Amino acid sequence: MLYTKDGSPPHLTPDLLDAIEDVQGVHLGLQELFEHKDVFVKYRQVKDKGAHDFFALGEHVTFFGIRDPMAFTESPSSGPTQKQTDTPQQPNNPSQSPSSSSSSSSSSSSKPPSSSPLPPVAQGYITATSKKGRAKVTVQDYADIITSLSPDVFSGMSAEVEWRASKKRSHKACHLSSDLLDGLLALLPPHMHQRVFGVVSGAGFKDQRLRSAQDVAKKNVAGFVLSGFDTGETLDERAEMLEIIMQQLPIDKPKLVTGPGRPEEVLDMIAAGVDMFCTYYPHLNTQMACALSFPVSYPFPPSQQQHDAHDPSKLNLRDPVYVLDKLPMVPGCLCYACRTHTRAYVHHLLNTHEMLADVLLT
Amino acid sequence: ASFMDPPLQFIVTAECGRARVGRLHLPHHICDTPMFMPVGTQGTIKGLTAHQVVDLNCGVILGNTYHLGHRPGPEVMKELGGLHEFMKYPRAMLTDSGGFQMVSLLKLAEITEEGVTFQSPHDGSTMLLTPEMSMKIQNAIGADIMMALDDVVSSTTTGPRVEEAMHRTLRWIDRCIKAHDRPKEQNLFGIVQGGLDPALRDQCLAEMIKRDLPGYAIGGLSGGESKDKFWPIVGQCAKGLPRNKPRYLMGVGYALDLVVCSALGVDMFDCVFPTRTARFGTALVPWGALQLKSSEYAMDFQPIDSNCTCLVCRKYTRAYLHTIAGSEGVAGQLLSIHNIGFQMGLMKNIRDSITNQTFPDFVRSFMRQQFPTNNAPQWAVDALREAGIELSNI
Repeated sequence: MLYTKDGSPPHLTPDLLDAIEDVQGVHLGLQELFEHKDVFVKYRQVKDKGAHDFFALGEHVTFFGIRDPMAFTESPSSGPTQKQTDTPQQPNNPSQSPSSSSSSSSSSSSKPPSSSPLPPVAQGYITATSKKGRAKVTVQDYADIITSLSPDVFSGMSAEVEWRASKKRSHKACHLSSDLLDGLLALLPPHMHQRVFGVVSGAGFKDQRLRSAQDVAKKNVAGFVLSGFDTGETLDERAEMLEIIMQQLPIDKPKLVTGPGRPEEVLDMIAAGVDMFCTYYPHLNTQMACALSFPVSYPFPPSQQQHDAHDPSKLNLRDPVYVLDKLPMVPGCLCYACRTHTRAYVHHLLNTHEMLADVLLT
Repeated sequence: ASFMDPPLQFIVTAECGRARVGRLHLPHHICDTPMFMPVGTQGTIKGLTAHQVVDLNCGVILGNTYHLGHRPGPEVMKELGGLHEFMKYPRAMLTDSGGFQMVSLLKLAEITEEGVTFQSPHDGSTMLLTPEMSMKIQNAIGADIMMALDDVVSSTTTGPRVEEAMHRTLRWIDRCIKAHDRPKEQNLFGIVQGGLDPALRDQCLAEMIKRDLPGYAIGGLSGGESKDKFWPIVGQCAKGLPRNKPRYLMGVGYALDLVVCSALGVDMFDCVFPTRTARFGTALVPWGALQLKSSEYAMDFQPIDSNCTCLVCRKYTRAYLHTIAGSEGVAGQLLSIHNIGFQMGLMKNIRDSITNQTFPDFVRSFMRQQFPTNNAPQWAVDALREAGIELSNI
C-alpha cells in the first residue's frame, strides 16, 4: 500500500500516480490526518463524500492505519484500560450521526446527571502525534474520522509498542486494542464492520502474541493488522513470531504489516503468510537519491553491471559517474521516468536540488 | 526540430487597436502570441514533468544560461544533445543570456567592457561571462531563441550609468551577432535598454533595429520601478519596434500587467511568479489570488476556481489544498499546474478576444473582475487609455 503524506503520495500528482501501473492501494495515516478530523466530518456532512474524493485517490484501495510507516513513534501510556473486560457498556447512541461534535464526551447524550464515572472503554484512547503535537484520540473520535473518510479497510485502534517494550506495557496495549475494538464496533454502523482489521499486539512476547492472536481471531473482522514489527526485532525473531501468529489466524482473511520494505524482507514475510504491506521504503530511497533497480520478474536477468557495487539493488544517482550516462535509470523499466529520461538528467536535477528529481525517482 | 530557413517566422494574423495576435514559427514549435512563457531555470519547471508542461499547452519555456552554464555546463550539455534532448521537452525554448543575474546578484558581480565577472553563490568560484561566452553556452543549450548579453542596470538607477549601459549593450550585440555559431537553427534576439529615459530608449531602438534581428526584447524593466514610469516605456518600445517581428517584454507576469502590456502591443512574456507563488501556497484566479494557507479555506469545499478545467480544479477542494499549502512536495506541484494553466488560459482569452475584435470588452470585463469596486490602479487606466481602451469608470 503506497505511502502517503497528508493524504497524497509524496511528489505524485493524480496524473502521475495513475501512470504508475500496479499501484492498487494507498495507506492513509491517523497520525497526520487526525488534526483535520473536523474538516473530514464537515466534508461528509456537506458533500457526503470521503477520502477517495477529498484526496482524489481515484480507484485505489484505501487502508487507514494507526502507525505512520515513516516514523514509528511509540505510544505514550495510553488511556486507562478497565480492570475487567466484560463490563456491559452503554453503546453510545449508535443512531447518533457521526457528525456530532467530537470534542465532547461520547456518551454525553445518554449520561445521567450523576457523578458516576463513564464506562471504562469510553475513557480508553490512543494518541496521534503530528507536527502540531500530540492529540488524544477517543473511540468516538476514531469512529468519526472513519465514518467521514470511509476508507475501504481500516485498522482497529491500537497502541503501538516496540518489540522490546516491558511486559507490562505490552500487556496493557494488548488489552487496549481488544477493548477499543469492541467500543469501536459499537459506534460504527453495521456496514462498516466488514472493513475493520483486528490488531494483533504483544510486542516481543510469545505468550502475549499468542493470546492476542487467538482473541482477535474470534472477532468478526475483515482481516488482521500485525502490529509492532520492524521496531527492533531480529529477522529470526520476526520469522518465529509470524509463525506463532499465523497459526492462530484464519487462512482466508488478509494480514497486513506496516514497516518493513526491503525486498528480501518483503519476500520473507510473504512466505510467512503476510498479504499487505505499508512501507515507505520507496520514499526513503527517493530521499537518499537512490533508484531501486533490483530485478522484479522471474527468471532474473543475468547479473547486470552495477556502478554501486556495495548494493546491487539500487543506484545512487548522485554519483558523478552518471554525469554523461544516457541510459535510463533502469533499462527495461517501463515507468514514465525510465521511458523518458536519462541518468544524466536525474543526476543533474539532484545536483541542482530540483524538485523534479524527487518526482522522477518516486 | 524541423530545419527552417530562416529559423523564425512571425505573421500577424489579427489586430485590435495596438494589440495583435501572431503566429510564431520556431524550429521546435508553432506558437500563438501574445503568449506567456513559464520559467524552467535549471532545466526543469520546478516539480513538473516535461509531459505535464506540454499538457498545460505551454509553447515556449525558458532556461537560464547563467545557471545551466554552471551546472551541468556547456560541454556536458553539448555532449547530451542540448537542452531539448536533455529535459525531453519537445516544444520550443528560449534562453536568457545570463544578464539578469547581473542585477539580481549585483553584490557578486563586476561589470567591465569585457563582460561580467560573477562569483557563484554556490561555491564561490568566479565565472567571466562575456558576450562570446554567453553565445557559446546558448549555442550548446540549443534553444530556439537566444537572448543577447546586455548590460542591464536596475530600473531604479539614474545618472550616467544608464547611458553607459545602453551604449555597451549595443557594442555587445555586435559581439553577440559575430559569435553566434548557429544562426540557421537558433534566433538571436536583441534587448532594448535605456532605463526610464525616453531619449535613450529611442536611441537604442533605432540602433537595435539596424541590426535586423529576428526579434527584440524590452529589457531593464520589471525591477522595482513605479508602474507609472514602467508603462510609458513599454508603450514607447512596443510602438517603436517593427510591426512584423515579435516583441518580448522580459520579467512580466502578473495578470494585470499581461493584459495591459498586450494592449500596448507586446507579444511575449516570461516570469517566475506563477510557479514561485504556487510553492508558497497561492493560487491565481480571475479575481485575484487565494492564499490557501489561510484558515478561511479550512472548510471550503469548492475547487480553486469552479470555472477552471485544470486537473487540480477538477479533483481537489480548497480545503484539501489548505491542509498541504506551503509544505514541501505535491502542494507546490498541484498549485503550479493550476497557476500555469491560469496564465495559459488568460493568454488564450486575450488572443481570442483580439481575433474576435472584442478585446476592449474583454479588458473591461477582466478589470471589473480584478477590481470590483472600481479601484483599478491609475497607471493601468492611463496605459489602457493610451492603448485606446477606455474603462467605464463611474
